[in-house]
Amino acid sequence: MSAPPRPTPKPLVVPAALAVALLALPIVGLLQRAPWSTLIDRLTSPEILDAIRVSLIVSISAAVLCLLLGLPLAWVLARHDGRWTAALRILVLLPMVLPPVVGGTALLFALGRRGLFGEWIDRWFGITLPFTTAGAVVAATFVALPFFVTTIESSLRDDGASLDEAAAAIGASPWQTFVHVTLPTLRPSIAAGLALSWARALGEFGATITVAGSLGGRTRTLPVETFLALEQDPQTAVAVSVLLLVVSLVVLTVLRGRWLTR
Amino acid sequence: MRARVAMWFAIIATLLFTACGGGSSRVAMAPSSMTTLTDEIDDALSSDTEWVIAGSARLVGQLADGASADVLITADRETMQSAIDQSLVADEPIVIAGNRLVLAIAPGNPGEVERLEDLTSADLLLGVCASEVPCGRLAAEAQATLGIDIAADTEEPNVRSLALKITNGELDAGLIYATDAADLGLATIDDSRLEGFVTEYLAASVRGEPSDITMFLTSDPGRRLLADRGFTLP
Repeated sequence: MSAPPRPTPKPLVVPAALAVALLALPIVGLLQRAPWSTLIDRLTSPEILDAIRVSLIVSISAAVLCLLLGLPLAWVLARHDGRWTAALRILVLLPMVLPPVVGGTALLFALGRRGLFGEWIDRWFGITLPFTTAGAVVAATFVALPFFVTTIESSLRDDGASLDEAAAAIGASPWQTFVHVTLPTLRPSIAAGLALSWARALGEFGATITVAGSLGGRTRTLPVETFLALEQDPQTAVAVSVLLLVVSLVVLTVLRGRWLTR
Repeated sequence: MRARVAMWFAIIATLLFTACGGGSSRVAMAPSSMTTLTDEIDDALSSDTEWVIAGSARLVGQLADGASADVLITADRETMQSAIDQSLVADEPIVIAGNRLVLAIAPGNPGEVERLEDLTSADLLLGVCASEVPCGRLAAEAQATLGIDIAADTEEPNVRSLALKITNGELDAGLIYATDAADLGLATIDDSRLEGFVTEYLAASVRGEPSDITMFLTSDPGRRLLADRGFTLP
């Protein structure tokens, strides 16, 4: 049930309209420059199809990693309070603030071939992150994780721990409570968190190019392809941007729709 | 309360306007590979220069989109030609410098690279510039002419990001400009076959008045500065 409409306080009208203009005008500008007649041809060239494939693999893997790693972390953050939790929360938010290129450079310092831990990861698991699709996934997960964790954490906090306590009172173990009580109530937020983190991973550029470089079919994602196309063929760059825009709008509408009708 | 809101608006408005307002200094558009020269050029000339640094094609794109500048310098002839074709420059461009392609190796040469042919090895981590940018076009030309197929692990969007990945040892070797190798102190492998692969730097006036930046770069002190940074001279 939605609240009855209330008159908008007058001082809010102009800033709100300006905000809408700021968000909407670039989209109008992009659509107006789009090469509509050649759009399909441009988007089905072998290079772009390769980039679409790499982007889908990287962004979906990143979203899945966000779910697997972020959900437990969000639970820990929501159900604990204290100095360490506060510090952890700041750590989680950092990738949102850091310029992605800096984040990528830091990832290289840690996980690169000459990195602090990279050598060991290479030796133990045989995985080298620089210039591999795996590296692009790690970079995308790094920047997308905060979006997932904060979405889930705020939802867990809003719901409170009373259901957990009730489950515990009738003898459920913490794991049973998590699986049978917490997870079902979280489902809409998980969808929203996945949508946000996937969208962030899809648009990721700075950390990806820094960690994974750019090789067609392996690490050249749509944003990297767009950046390169801007050098020589801006029309194709605009066409790819329109594609990214449409895909994001569809996914955000579908998943946010579920979230809003909670 | 109202007074406080008004005060904040005044502060924000002031910040916005001071941020937007420019001085009367000249504006020079120069390719990324000239970044290390700007301080010296500023010192040599009396008035201030506002430098717009980006890839050559992007600079021309900015001019086409209405950006204003006094002088445009591009890192290759093709890009300058596209500026001429779009009537974005006012006079005939002149060649001010050249930049050679070199084979640069990571510190300590972990890949034990000794000659150009080693770049065909899939076991090494190798990089070139993407074919969309001048240094990548040059690298593609070199590969085709010399019949060497580099097993590249990355095709970087600009020569600087490629050079930095060689510097920090993530790549074993790559084809970069002599100026970037000189600036970052990277060791290079001498191969006379690469000598023919040079990109030319061209300068043109955007508004028609001769630019003192161009005059400086073609003067003796300017040429000394260019040579000192690894550029070749016309």
